Amino acid sequence: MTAVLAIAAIALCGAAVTSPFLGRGALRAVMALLLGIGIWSGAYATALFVFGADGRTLLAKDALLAAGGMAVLCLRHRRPTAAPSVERPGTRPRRRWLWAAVAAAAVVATASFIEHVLRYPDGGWDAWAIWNLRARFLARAGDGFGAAFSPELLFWAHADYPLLLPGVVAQGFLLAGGEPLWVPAAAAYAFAALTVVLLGAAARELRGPGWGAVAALALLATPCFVGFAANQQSDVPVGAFLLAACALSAMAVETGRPRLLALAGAAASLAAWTKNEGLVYLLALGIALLAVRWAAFPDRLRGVIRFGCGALPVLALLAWFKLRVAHVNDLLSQASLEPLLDARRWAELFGALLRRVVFFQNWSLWLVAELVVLIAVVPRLPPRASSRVLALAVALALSATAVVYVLQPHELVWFVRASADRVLVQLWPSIVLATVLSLAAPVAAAGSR
Amino acid sequence: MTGLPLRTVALAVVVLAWIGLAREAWFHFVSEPVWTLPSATREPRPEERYGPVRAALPPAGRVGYLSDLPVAASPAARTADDYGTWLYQQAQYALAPVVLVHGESRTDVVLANVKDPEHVDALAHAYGLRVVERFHGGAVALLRP
Repeated sequence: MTAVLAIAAIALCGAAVTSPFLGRGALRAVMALLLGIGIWSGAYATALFVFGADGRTLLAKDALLAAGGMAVLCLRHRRPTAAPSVERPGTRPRRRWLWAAVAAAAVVATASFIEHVLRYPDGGWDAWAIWNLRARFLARAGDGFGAAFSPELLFWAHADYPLLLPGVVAQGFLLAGGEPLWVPAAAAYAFAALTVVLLGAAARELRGPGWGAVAALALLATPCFVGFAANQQSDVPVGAFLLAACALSAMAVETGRPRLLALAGAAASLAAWTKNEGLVYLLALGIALLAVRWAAFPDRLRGVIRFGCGALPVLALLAWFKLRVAHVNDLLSQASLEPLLDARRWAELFGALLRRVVFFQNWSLWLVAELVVLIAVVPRLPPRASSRVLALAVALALSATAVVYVLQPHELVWFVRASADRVLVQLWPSIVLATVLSLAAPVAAAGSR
Repeated sequence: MTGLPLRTVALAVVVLAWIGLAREAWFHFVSEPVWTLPSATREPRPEERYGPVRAALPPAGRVGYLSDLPVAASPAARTADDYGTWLYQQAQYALAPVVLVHGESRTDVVLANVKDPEHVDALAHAYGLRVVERFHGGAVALLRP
């Protein structure tokens, strides 16, 4: 019964927040599920910090989410809804071989995921040392859950990391009445699958169904995407929320519906509630929406204000968590700006990053192909505001990450090896979307689908 | 040209996807031979080392943690051999919500987690503690003042 209520809470609150912005269709469904999971976890953390870990509180939280979602949907039912995703003439999937390739890739990716999870049921090092550890603290400790953020835990536990993923897994443990290994694995698979479907649906919405298949295929066949998903870490979830924010921003820019930016802000804030990098991505996307000329400046400013308003509730939770609960981040705990002036450190960083670009084991040839497209193809195509917004956001995010790499106290090459692929995999779905938006003409202007 | 033809891009992506999926399949089914999966799933999980310890510890609170191996307690303290750090983290993962306080010996009960079981007595002696219970062939022990 409690599991049914939890599923209803996710589905109804997700549907409620997306229905004013998106028409019926695959994109709205997948966006609703993803944001519903994020809201469900954010509400859990809020209830935990405000009312404590009592089981009845969590039950009431789910009941409130489900009832609130249902009420919003009923009210919306009386009003005209957002324009449904129209199945445009000539945009039905015609290239069956392409969809067959996507299906085959999904089978290989799922089989690889299952193999990895069976072999390493506790996930990768960071999964059990950080994310599933935190979920265990939250699920096991009851009202003593504050121990999860004890300053006496070694820095490897990263007590300052936000709680979206541990919140999902901990609630899964509580609903299951134990700690079955399938709970974090199922959460990891759900986030990965939602990312693939969201990418395909967003590319389809903006460029047509063939492009949706191309985008989904590119992500499914990226070796480290499956690996990091199976490792049960938070990189794929943060990438999913960033992708949602990017897709909604691109839709706002291309369709002239700036109110979509409020939902984009909410999605970006859930990325920030998933991992510290998510806050950087939120800021980068906000700056890009203001800087790229996709509308007159006052309209862009209004759009960014909407983006900020959408982000505000979760950012308030994050700010409270960072100020009252979380402790100093190890990466910036000994921050001195001196390394920024060290040319050798920058050279070391770029050398190590270049190695990741050609790191076949994790990326196959995808990053090389992406660079070729950026250098040789994109400059010959007409500039498109939506892809420029996403490209600038990714560039800003990578630049900020490079600064953190130079400043952080760990041995640089080791740190890049340990983390650069994970940062890239967080951005990769959004990079694929931005690339598709660059390469293909918008649906109305395109001749070839 | 307003954009690239879908067919051209799709063909390129299918070729790249074939290479990527081959790499994925190679890693998951050949490099880690899939026929070893049944035996791998039967292997004991690292945290099983701490199963009986959990029952002997208080359900929550601070517990001191001592080891015969170095544990990296700060980013600057990382060592080439991170086995001691891995042991600490595995113990913490298994024993949460107890907080294992590395290097602390003044708590009511202290957990000794060592690579060599013969080091437990010396470790207890060094901190003025006595061994009250041993687990996992003596590699894990509870110490008290």
